[in-house]
Amino acid sequence: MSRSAREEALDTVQGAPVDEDRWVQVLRAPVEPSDAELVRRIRDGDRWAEKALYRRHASLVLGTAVRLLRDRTEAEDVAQETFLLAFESIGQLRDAEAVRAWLLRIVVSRVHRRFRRRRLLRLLGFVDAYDEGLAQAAGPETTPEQRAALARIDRVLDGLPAPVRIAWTLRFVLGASLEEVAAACDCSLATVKRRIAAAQRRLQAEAGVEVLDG
Amino acid sequence: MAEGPLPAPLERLMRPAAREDDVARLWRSLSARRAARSARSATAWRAWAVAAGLLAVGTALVARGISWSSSTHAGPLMLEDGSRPAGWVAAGATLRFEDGSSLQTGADTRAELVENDAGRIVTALRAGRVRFSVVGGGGRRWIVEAGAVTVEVVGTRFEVERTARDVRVEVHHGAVLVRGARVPDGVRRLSAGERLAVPDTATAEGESPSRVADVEAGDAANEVASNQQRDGDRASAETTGSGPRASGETVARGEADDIEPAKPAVPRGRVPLRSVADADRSGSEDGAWRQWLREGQWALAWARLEAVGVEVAVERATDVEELFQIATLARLAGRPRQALVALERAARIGSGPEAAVALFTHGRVLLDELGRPADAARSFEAVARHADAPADLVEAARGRWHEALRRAGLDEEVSGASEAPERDRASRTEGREASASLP
Repeated sequence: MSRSAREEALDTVQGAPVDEDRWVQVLRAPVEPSDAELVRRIRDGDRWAEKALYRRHASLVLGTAVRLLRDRTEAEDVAQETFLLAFESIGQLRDAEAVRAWLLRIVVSRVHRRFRRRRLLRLLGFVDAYDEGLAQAAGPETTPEQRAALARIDRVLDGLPAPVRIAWTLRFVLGASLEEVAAACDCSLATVKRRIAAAQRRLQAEAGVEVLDG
Repeated sequence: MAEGPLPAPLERLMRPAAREDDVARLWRSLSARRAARSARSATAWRAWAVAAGLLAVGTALVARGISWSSSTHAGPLMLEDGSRPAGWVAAGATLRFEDGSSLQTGADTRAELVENDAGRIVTALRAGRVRFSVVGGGGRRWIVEAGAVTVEVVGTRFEVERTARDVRVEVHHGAVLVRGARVPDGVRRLSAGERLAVPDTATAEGESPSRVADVEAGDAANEVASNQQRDGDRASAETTGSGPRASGETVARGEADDIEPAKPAVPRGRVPLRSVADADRSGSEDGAWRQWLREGQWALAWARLEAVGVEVAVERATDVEELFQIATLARLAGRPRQALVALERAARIGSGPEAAVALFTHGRVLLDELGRPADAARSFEAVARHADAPADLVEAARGRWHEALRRAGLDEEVSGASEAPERDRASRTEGREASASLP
């Protein structure tokens, strides 16, 4: 059993460092199982554990798919496919603690398929449009200048090769670490850095936009 | 051209890509797709089986006693007429399931189906008698929750009766596992012809909160006397359980006699409130959810909590940690509104930082799970004003307060928000009055 909220609160009084995420953990810790525990229970046929795992990672999976595809309908399809595949093949997952990285890898591979299909449709003369680009998804607090910059980024991203676009989006839109990007894209760290640098150069040259690496 | 570089991650500039209602809707679609896929898979298998030779396959299935319908069923177990059973089962009713299993309730029985999916069917027996006839082979577990005991089977015919004094399990065919704090060694396997009677802790030991309050007041002598009285009740119940049997019955030897008290006797002297409260209520009707929670069975814990009534449990909760557990269970079950009820009470009765944490979580639920930014802003503001809130929690609350105000479209308040820290610092002496400002 994890530490109680009372113990956590006492820590805080005694000056232990606290951030918002830690406070969230305080409330979940008493009953929330680890990913590994959920995976074990899913393998034992516990349907509730499936839902718990889904609820824990659904925002990540759907959010990633939306930002990569910039099309909500397609993104929801991809999110569903990801969880379908994950639940079907969870027995093959070697490191049960690495569920998050595993799901990201599945999402990226499904997104790659969608990009291939889009390319084919474009060759056949169908219009390739998306309904949730970065500019469209901008929040109300975004300034007009930032919104315009996001629109230019959208246009540049359209012209980038899919692997480059995905790596850059994971890093600069979703804030994934380089290691996470490499794992999700199933490539080396050096390759990820090269792809991201290429995207940054294109954005600077074609859109006049610089995105600072946080 | 942008006036300056954009800060990564750009996600911060955007509306959330995945809202709570998107996630919930997606889960429903996902479940439907899985069911459909499973059905397609079953159809493909059947087609293959036909090609391979209907007669051979059919013969093999019959020979192995496999129930086709149950082994391929991926969703809940339906009734014969195709409807889905759920909720309370009428007294004197017989439910016949599509796999051939059945459930028959007595004239004054109160029973409820609290869970029904591909993995298991859980029936909560509040009172009376239920006769089960379970067809095996499907891999679905049947679980009966009857106060002090849990009965678990895969395929058999048995009865569970819950009276005012005890719970009786009687097996006619096959075998069952009976679990419970008052079952010898915690678990007992019963075979055909055997019967077990266990004192029902919900009625034999159920204690009112006022008795616990007496102990807290230092009335240790009353507490010891009360324990002795309970031991007397238990002995009486055991005698009833091992009393005369119907003709032809076989009773598991010593099954009633060797039922030992599951919890140690409360030591003489002053007893801490928390330990007494835990021990006394762990087996009671309204304490069952805690037991499930301790065992990590969240779905069952939530089902039991709902059966008791979330509001009732919140009112009965004796400390903040328990209220946090209720709130977390509610959130895991997708019932954020009920989580709010628990968190509001936690904010009121909690002392020091705990109350501030409850307020902060209250705001998070309102903002992130219910999409009520204006209400959430009030909760975060209450954290910032709370006298006992740790400084870093106050900082986090201020950040969320700004976010909530922006999402609520309260631009004029956002423009004045930069002065908020000073106002907050000045008003933190208001102390716990902040809790009263909950939305």
